[in-house]
Amino acid sequence: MKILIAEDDEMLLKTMEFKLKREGFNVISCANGEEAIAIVTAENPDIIITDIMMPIVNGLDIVRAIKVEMKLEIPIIVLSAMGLEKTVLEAFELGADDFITKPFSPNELIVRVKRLLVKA
Amino acid sequence: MAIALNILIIDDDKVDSITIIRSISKSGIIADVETAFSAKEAIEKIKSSQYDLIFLDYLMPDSDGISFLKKLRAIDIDIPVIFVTSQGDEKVASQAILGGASDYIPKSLLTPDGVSQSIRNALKLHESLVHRKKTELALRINANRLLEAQKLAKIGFWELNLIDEEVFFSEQVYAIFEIDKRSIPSLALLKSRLVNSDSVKLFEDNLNLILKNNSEVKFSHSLTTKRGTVRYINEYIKCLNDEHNKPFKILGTIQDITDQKHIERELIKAKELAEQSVRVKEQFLTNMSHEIRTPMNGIIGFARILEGTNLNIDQEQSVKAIKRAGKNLMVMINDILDFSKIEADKMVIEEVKFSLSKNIKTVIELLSTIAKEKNVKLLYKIDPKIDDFLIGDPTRLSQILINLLGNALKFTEEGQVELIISLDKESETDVFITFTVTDTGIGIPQNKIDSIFESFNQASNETTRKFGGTGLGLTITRKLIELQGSKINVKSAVGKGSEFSFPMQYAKDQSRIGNVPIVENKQLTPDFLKGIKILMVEDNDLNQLLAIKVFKKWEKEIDIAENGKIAIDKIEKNDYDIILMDIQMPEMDGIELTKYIRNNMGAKANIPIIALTAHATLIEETRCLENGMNDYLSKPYHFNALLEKLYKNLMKTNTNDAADGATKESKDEKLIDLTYLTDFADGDVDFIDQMIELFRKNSPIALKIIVESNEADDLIILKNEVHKLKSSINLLGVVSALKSIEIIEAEITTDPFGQKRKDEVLHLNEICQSVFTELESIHTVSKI
Repeated sequence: MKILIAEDDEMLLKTMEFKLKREGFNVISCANGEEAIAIVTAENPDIIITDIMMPIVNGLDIVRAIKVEMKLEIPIIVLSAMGLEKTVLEAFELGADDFITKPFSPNELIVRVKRLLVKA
Repeated sequence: MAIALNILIIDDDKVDSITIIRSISKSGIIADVETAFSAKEAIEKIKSSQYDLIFLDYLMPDSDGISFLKKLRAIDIDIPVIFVTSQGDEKVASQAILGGASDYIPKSLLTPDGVSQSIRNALKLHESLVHRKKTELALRINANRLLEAQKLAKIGFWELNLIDEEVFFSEQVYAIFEIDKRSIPSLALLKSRLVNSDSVKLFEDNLNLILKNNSEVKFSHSLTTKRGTVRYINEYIKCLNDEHNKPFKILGTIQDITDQKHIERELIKAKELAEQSVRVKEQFLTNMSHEIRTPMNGIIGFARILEGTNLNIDQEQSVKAIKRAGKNLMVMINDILDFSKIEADKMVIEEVKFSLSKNIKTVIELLSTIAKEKNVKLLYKIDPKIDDFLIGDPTRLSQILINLLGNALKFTEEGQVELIISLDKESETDVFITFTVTDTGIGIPQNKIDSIFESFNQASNETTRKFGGTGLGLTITRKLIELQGSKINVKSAVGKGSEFSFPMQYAKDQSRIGNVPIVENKQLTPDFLKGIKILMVEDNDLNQLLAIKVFKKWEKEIDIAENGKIAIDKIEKNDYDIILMDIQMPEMDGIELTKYIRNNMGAKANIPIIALTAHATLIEETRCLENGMNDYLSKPYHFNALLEKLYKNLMKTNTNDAADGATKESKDEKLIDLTYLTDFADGDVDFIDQMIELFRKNSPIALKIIVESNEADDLIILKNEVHKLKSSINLLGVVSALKSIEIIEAEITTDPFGQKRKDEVLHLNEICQSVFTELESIHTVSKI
């Protein structure tokens, strides 16, 4: 199973990578939205985890690009900081499948990832 | 009883006169009648007597009645005149009336009835004429008064009749607007004089307002006259309604207040000038205080140093003389500065805790040498019932007592000087005590007692020459006493001595009640300085030299940094135990430097710093302590005082572990708790290392952004960066930092621009700096 993580906080990225790799996932990471969209086209991941707050192209743009424009059916989990619930609702409207607020427990992340993959 | 009328009959015909007289008496009218037979005689009689009525024949030898009448009226004789005419002479009669006669009567009708009728008519007519004239005069007088009043007050009055659109301007309107008096009054004319469209709009808006509400309104604006004069005016307009409640007239007054406006402006300018002058004075005082104390510190300091070296008798005497002169100069300089401060109303009376006995003992000690030299006994007595721990201004108290005792000693050649402190009464919260200084000196003549408190005055010029001094001491003493709500009393007799006394009220220091008085400090030796590394930050080379010499005396070498930049450099390269820091330095002053050290120097951020400042005020002390300095010493300082401060602040850091509350304990504990990370890593040591490495690499930058955005109030950036930091901090288990972040995030929401947010970010920074330090040891350990 391929997971794409888009996250600009290095430490957080490394943490998620570590845990997911431990669970046996194949993890591809990037730190901005532009790269993420390119990777989707090239690698066709099974699930995407993206932070909302990122420079240049942010998480919402990724969700819109993948769900609305490219109309792909890849499940997307959105990560958000506490004060951005408005944006989270917007993400859902654009088609995101789940969200987790930071700071989160990595175990929770794994459970949510697995759940979405089962559905697919 | 009716008053008799005075009647004059002017007729050359005696028969006619008698007829009239007879008719008058028969008519029942009470009259005193006189006759004149010619115009000339008539005039004389008129000039000399007051007549109420005149009968005038139209034909007289030396003048005809009509011209005589005209003449009379011309010289303002307006006595009613009844013209006597011949039968059928109506033409004459009408001429007579025109000429000013009140009535005419044909000779044939000179009957009692006819005459009395005529008289009554004439009198009635006259009365109404007189009345009318009086009214007219009153009106004219009033009109004049009004005009004068308007001129004086510079008020113009105008009126607009809404029905026929006629406008009336009073004289002043023309004058204020400088319009030609011949111009036709109109509102358009008024409006054309207003300076700009705003004024016109204001005028029109107000007009509409009063028309709508049938009200009145006041407003002010400026106008420019045709000749270009700018005036400021107060306007008042009112709308008058008729009985159907429809507006029919608008009244307005215009008052020229240009003069008042000018005065206003001048006053504001004067006020600003005065305020600026005060600011300049304040700045001067502050600068002078510093400028003067620095070299004085040098003089006295080096003299002391010299004293401690090997000197022969001559040298020792010279040095003692320098010290004495320096001390005297310092006293006088302080007097002058204090005097200036009092004059500028800048003297502050402090409220601090102090020990009365300690204060008095210090004062007595200071003066005991002089007393010994003069062979005069210096005694003191404090009533033991007085609470020792009080709240007030001990500096000023010492100043007052030193002055009074000093004076007493100065003017006493033999005998004693005594200070008595007695308890007048006490309450739960306060003590009321009286200080009395008595001496057996030369005394003060009765007539000079008041003047000794005058500035620059001494009892006599001889006194000045003999005893010296600025003459300011007593002035300042009295002012200080009065500033504290008290009064100084003097009793003296020439040859016998003097007694100065003043009552004082002090609050009891409730926190120390029942405690044992402070034990005298044992004389400190400089042994504790062994192995201690000291840095002094001081820009003035004189003070630097002095410091080096002082420490040399204590067999200690110190490092000197002459400005903030060099200081930072030295602190980074060396491990100092304590820093002595001058406050007043150019470019980066002591406060700024301390802030920098506390916020940016990681493990070295908490190094003890003692401030050295030329300003000996509570405000300055508070400022130093608030900005991160640990202690405070004011220049010029006693060497022992410096030693004590060093001891106090070095011992403090060593006794950090002493039971002092939970906060101290947690500080000793490690900040980083790797339980979570270790658990997370599930044994993968490389992962732990990676994470620590990442934190060390990225967090300092993040912290820098956090501190900067905190300073600049960039709340969005601050919020995001702090939040980002949260997860990394979480990973390293730094509980205190997490709590700090939570506080910061809460404050950003509830009080974004408040001081708490700003302070907490700085606190977070401090914690993180300590975390970085701790990381270094962890990192090396894990490598092993």
